[in-house]
Amino acid sequence: MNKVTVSAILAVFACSSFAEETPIVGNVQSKCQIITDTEGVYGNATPDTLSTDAADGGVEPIVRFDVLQANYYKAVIAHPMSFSESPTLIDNTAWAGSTEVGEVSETTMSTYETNKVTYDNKTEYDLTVAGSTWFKISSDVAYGFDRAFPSGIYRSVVQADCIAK
Amino acid sequence: MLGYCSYSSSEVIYSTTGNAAATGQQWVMQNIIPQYTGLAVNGVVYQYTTIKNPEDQMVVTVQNENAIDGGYIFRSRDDWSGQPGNTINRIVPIDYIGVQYWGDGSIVVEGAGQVTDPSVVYTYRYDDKCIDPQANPSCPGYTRTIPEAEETNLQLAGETFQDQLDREQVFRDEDQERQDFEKMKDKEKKKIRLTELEVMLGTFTLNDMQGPSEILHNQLEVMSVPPASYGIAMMDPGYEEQIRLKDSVLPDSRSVRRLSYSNDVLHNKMVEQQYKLGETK
Repeated sequence: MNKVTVSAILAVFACSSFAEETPIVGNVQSKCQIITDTEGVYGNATPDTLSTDAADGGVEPIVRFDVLQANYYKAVIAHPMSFSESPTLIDNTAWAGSTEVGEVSETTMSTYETNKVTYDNKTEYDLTVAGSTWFKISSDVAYGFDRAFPSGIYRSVVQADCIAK
Repeated sequence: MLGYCSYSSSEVIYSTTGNAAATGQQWVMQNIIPQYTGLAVNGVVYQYTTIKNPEDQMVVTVQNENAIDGGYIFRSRDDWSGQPGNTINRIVPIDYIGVQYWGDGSIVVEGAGQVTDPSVVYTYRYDDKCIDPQANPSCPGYTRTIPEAEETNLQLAGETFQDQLDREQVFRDEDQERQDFEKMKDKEKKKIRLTELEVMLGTFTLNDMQGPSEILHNQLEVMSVPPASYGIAMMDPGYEEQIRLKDSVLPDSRSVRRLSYSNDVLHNKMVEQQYKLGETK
């Protein structure tokens, strides 16, 4: 008998207490975009080196950062330290590279180059101005000790990140 | 068929100029951008590299004079003061300003420093059907011309300017006459419709009134209230027309005037040609 009474009260309670869950959806789109402006090409001026330097027959890759809101993002660009594709290599490779500001859409972006921070193979820029900035990346590889690179396709990747501060 | 339609319809074309600053830091716009009627500039893309010491004051201005109102139609200033030199690449959207406003362009440097490798490119749009503004009535700069009537098109080839003005005046009068006639016809139609409406409403009202009035009439006759003359019909004497209009000469309508004018011109020309033929012999 008690059990029935309790269950009836619970039923009334359940009917009188309506609950509704209202969702809130937010769609956040990044206000920092990275676009590959120019793809890089390795030149092979001497058998033991690959270089993106124009003097060696290479092309430096250019990456463009479009920032819609100033002071919210930083750019971290890493020049390559290994091949993503290559023939089988039996000796060590020595990697070097750098990143610098190529072109700017605002004059005040010129300070990016003087204020950049470099560590390991990465270069970090504080994106303090809204607009577009073009970054040029150079990459050089030497193979062994005066050893010629085996013939084939060599590919490497520049990692560019736009990180919210 | 679809291809034909799209070809025959008006097409808006977007394009860009070459580098206006290729030969120097001053340029004449007539040599850079096509001077089509209706062409409008919607953007300026410029790039240059500055060579300077970071501590120097330097302001670079890319600008175009306003060819109609004076002053400048476009000015973009880059302040490099206290900044190291670099390559700037900027796109400036323009709100479709007509090509006629774009005067000579230049890159002006104030302060210490140099500008190298400048590039200034204008983006624009135009309607290919409006290159000749008379090709389409919707084109800016289109001026309406009065077409010649078919029957006078060939015969009046040798007419003088005054003849042409007179003929155009006749055409305008004819247009006005036609418009007046159309207005009069509309008024008559409205009047007829109004009369029909009145008749229709009157019929209903008459039917409603006729029954009760007949009953009342019968009742009054039984009571001998109306006089004996009430039922006698009156003779209709008739009303003769008193006003007489005298006949007079009716003037020609404007259409007839126009036709007789054309005939006169043609006749005169034929007579003149006769004399000319005599001279050549």
